[in-house]
Amino acid sequence: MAINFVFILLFSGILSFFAPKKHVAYLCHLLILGAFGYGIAALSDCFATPDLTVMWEAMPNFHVLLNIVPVAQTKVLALGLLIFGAVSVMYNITSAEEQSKSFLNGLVVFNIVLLLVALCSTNYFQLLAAIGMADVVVYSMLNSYEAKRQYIYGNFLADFLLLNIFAIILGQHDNIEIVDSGGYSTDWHHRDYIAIILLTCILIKSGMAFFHSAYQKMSPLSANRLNFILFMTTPLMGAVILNTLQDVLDISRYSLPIIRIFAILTILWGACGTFVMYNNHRKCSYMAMVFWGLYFCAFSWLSSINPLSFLMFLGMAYLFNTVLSNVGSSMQGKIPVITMLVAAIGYMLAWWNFSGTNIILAIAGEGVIFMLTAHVASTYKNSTIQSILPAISRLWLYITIIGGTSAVFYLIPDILRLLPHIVVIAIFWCIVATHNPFAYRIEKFNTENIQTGDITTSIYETMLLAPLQITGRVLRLTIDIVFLERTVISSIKNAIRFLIYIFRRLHSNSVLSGIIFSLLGALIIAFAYYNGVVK
Amino acid sequence: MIENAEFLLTILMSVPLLGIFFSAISKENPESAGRNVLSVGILTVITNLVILMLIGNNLIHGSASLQIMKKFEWLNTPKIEFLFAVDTFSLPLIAAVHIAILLGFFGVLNNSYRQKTLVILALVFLEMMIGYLLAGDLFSFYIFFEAMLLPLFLLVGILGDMHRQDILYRFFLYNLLGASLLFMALCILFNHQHVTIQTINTVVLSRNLEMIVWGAIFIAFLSRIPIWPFHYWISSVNVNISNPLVFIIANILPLTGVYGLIRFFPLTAPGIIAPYLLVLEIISIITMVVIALIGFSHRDVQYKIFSYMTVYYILYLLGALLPTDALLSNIGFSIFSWLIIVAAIEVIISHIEKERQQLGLPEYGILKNAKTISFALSFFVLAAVGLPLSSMFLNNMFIFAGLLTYNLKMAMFILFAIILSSVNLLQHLFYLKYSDNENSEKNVVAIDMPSPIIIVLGATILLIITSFINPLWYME
Amino acid sequence: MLTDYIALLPEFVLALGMLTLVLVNAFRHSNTPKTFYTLSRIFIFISAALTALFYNQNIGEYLHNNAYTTLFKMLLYFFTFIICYLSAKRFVSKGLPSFSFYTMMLFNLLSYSVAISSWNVLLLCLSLSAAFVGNIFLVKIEKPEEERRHVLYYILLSTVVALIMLSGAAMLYYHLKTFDYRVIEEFLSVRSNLIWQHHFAFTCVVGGILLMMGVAPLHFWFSNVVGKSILPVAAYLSVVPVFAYFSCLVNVCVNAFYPLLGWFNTVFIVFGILSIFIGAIGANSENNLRKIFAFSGLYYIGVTLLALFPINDNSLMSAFTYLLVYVVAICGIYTIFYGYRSKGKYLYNLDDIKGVATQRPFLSAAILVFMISLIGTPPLLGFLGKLSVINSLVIGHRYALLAVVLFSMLILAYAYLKIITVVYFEPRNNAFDIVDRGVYWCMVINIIIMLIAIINPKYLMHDVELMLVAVF
Repeated sequence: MAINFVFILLFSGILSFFAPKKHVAYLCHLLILGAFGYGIAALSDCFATPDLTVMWEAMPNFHVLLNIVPVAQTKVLALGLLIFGAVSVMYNITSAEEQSKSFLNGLVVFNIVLLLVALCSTNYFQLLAAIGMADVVVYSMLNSYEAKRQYIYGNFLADFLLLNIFAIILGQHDNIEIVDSGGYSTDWHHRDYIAIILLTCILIKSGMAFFHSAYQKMSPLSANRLNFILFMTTPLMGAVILNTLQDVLDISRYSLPIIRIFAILTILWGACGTFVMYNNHRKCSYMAMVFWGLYFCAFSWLSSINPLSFLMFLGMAYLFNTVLSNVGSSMQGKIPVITMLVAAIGYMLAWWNFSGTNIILAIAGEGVIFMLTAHVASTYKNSTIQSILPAISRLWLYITIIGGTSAVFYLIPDILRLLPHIVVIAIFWCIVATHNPFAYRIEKFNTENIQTGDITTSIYETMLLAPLQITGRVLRLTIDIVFLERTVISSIKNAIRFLIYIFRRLHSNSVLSGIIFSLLGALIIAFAYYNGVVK
Repeated sequence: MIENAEFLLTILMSVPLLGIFFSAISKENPESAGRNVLSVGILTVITNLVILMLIGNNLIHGSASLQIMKKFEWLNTPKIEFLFAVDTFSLPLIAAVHIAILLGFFGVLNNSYRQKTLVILALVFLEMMIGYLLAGDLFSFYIFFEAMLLPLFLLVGILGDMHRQDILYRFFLYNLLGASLLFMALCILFNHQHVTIQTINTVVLSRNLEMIVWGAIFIAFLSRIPIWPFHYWISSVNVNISNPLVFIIANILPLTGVYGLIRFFPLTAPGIIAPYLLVLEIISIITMVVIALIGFSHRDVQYKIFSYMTVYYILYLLGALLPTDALLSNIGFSIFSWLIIVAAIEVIISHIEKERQQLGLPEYGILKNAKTISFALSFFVLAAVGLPLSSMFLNNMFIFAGLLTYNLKMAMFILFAIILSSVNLLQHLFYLKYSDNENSEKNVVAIDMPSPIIIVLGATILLIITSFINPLWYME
Repeated sequence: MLTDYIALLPEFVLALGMLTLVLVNAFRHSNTPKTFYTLSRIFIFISAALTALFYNQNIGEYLHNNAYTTLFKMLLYFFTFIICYLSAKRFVSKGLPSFSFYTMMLFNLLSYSVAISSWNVLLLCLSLSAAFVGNIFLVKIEKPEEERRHVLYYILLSTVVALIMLSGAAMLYYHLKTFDYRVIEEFLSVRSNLIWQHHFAFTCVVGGILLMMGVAPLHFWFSNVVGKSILPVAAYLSVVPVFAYFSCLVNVCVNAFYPLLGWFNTVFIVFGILSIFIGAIGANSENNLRKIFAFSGLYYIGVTLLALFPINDNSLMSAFTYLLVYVVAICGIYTIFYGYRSKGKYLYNLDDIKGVATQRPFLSAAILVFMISLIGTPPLLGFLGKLSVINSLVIGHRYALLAVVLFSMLILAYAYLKIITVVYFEPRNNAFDIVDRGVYWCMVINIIIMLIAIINPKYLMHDVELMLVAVF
């Protein structure tokens, strides 16, 4: 019986997650790699696997159909994800830096599965559930306090905003099918609001400008974790949301301009960061920013996105960053530069292919990638990271770089026509990489404030959090203490005290009080008699 | 399916009484340190949970009406018949209350101060809550509505570290006022027409009387929920409670208000008070925002938890007041997970505080070396803020959908309050987990949790996740 | 001829009992405090049995017995016995003479028994006045000369009340030439017969009864007397006489002065409201436990009054239920007071019982149960009383009164909360003496009665209803 590869992946992930470190770790690694291999084979149509469709009784009054059925468009992406997943697992296995290999590999598997679930979503519930669970998985991956903190604040907010949008759609149209979202554009309420909220969510997820702090704080993570998170997790999920809910964004005329503005800002910010940072991991984070900025540029300026091109672009960016985060002063000689050259060539080619027919976009992007990759190659020796790569790790790195670049060469049509240009660019790249023209200019940015500072968080804390805290304190003082306690409650207390005082005075002298009360009683009787009988 | 399953209701209500009896006669000595009576309490709650599961097996899913009914003739003049029944809405709530109190019992595992009193009063409160959630007629509804005040008052007074007794008095009298108003209203309704809760909307009254009756009912239930300006002393009572079980019980009380409103106004509010609903909604939303802001600036974690609970109670209240009954089961299942999650958070937080005081550690970064506690607390906080780990996640979406459709501007404030109150919890979580290189040398003393509590929390995590994957797992 | 008076046997036994006590006190020298209790209880038992036996026997035109009178008399006997039993513990523990107390118990029983069955205004006034004046002997028990100011005050008051009642009866006789209820009622039914003297006479009689009940604004004496008397007397005055006054009030209003009730209903309502408010505020202003419950008793009497008038079978039933529930609870409270002792001294100040729950948990739990029952909180018996009254007010469409009752209950509840706080939440500052087993027995029996009554009240209520309507 053909078992769906998703089950095998999940099983391998769970086993790896809970496996004790020493005894069965290697078995788990093998099982995971085998599961990925099986998945790749299944998606390559080597053998038939049944579609995964589950009726989920998510709520007592609502059932949701869960689909993990990769259709034509998503099949390529799904295949790519599985390949990258396998690559990442191999990086983890061969890495000496990574201590919790099994645990991390399990999380990698869960993340890939959740990405598949999100990719194959046909309804909002499935998409939302996958996104939310992926956040939890990534949160578990982070073993840095600050990264965890910033990540969860941002993504909790993003998930909440997404939930908000789906709730509006559900409330207005009582339909959760994504495919029907295009038909709503004629009669939607609150269009701009929905589009802006959705964009905010996507920008947070993808770590765009002003929302990138969480990813900057991930520099203490190991190289593999860092790069996997930057390219294969939440930011990629943001791209999935962007693609899946494109029809929703189209309802507002502000969507496209906002995407373009943020994309350019992100590229600029990322480029500046890449130039000035000395820490290689921080450089990686900014490089990832540039990558996603470029992706958003492509999304907003191109009429459609080719999945295979996107995969190549994603893969090469991931590989370049992997090289960058693993080189350090321990690697001497020309090998790191050559490695980075190969990766950079593949990176630039992938972008050229991805940007399609938009020449301006292609050239601008090439320029950015060229300058950044060359610059980081020229300054890798300044890195503060003393990474010591074991031989097997280096071997796997070289294999993946060469393999990835080769795949790019193979998959791009008319690559031979581009060869002369590639050679020229490579020569110029080498010149820039070896001579480091920006070295003296970036010297002045080597201050603690710039290297470790976080301006975005400071802005949030000053402009957003501080006013909220002050408001809370003022409200507590004015409403709870001054108004309620000192005014209302004190008045009631004093009134009761006064009543008791009067009471005690009236009852203090027995004879006099007796006379007074008796007279009062007589008066009441007389009054009642007068009213009831005389009148 | 069990035939004549009404006896299960009788057993459900009798077991806590037996528990109270055995708790009262249990022997305590310095060695046992309250363990005997606590074991009785735990066993009582677990027994009831098993019975609840049997009841759940006998319920017909999809039916909104009361099922498994038990009648009891009480008086001839006036003719009063008590009706107890359960439906698919009340069952998860009863289960949630049980599990929350069970967690509370484990939270006081090492408590030695007046343990017997604590357990007995907790079981009395549990009994009253069961009766309230099972009540199908007007009088049994009221009886348990008021009766639960006394054990709560005693619990808070004896074990709540209350230094200002006037706040406790006000808290009790304020709730008693609400109960008295409800009683008055129910007597008027009953004397006009012998109705049950299901048919209460069929009563025809004169305009003025209708205003008085429904207004009184509204105020009675609202008095349980910390709506401004009554949030002040309710919050004052809550923040002074360091005992986790007492805190949990005190914060279950507002559930009675929400539940009452849901039962009495299932579809639409009576026409006479419909104009005032907008006022109520505005005040509720103001309360949510104010409480969330105060919680954001407040340092005390108990206030943060209280503000979080208040915001969600008002959310459920507003969801219940929407002109649709399609959300009721969503509210019920959301409350199920939510109550358990908050109880778990409270147990963990109070344990951390106790350990901290015993070991003389600073609070900042105390969880750095406590992996198990850190994991458990992280799970529950993430579930509490609405990530897909519990049935809250999707059920709340339906509630938000209803609110957003009804009035977008109001819903924005509601969402703001919810985000803020969730951030409060996250803030505290990271405050406890703080870690940097300087701190790594300090706090080498790791705090620990007793194994029984870890096991129970683990089981709770499984239950929460199960509620997300398959909320109706207990039904056939 | 003799058989016409056979129904007087219970009263005769009580008189005989009194005589026996006097003779024993005079001629027997080895008396202990328990001696008089033992003798009293024999006569109480016999009298109660005879009352039940001759429950429907009349004695000429003077005394009528029926289910209604028998019900109240049995309640009187029952509660008097409880008070006597508990008081014996006190007298024995202190080694003080109990002759006066038990003699007055019998005397009061006799007077109240006559008053309840009375079908004659003069007999009613005489018997009630006798009991009221006779309470002087109770009030002055164990009081030294220098502390007898309140006794003098009570003597003055009781004399004045007796005179007022008797003058009312005299005025009635002067104009109607009869004391008989039925004749009076027939005469007063004709509106043209009515003159202001009839109203005045009626006011004197009923006003006297209201003062004896301690209804506001005629309540000024009650809390002082109860607060300053010894515990057995305070218990007795709080628990027993209210039944007698209630039954006499209903009897005389229904069977004699019914035509005059129209205008007097306003008085009842105003007095009731005043009682409620003064009772609730008074309970909050005191630190003496007996005075607190004396004032709270005022609240309950006020509510009873509001529920009772205008009199019909439904209002009578609800008022009686409320009163019975109140008396059962207050009896329980005083039972607890017998347990609150430190170094041989019975405690009555709030400060003296701080933290008693830590040393006497069962007593404290019981006082909590009784006080919660007094508030009317379910699931205790007090709820049944509250339900009866509220239901009665709703049926009569008296929503304003309903609001008054409920609001005042909150004020009263505050006073009880203070006591609960002191008992449970304050640190203990006294060592409490061992409690007599008899106190625990009484407490347990009281609670069992409450539980049985609340769990299944329908049978009890049905029988009581049948007995009450016999007054009409």
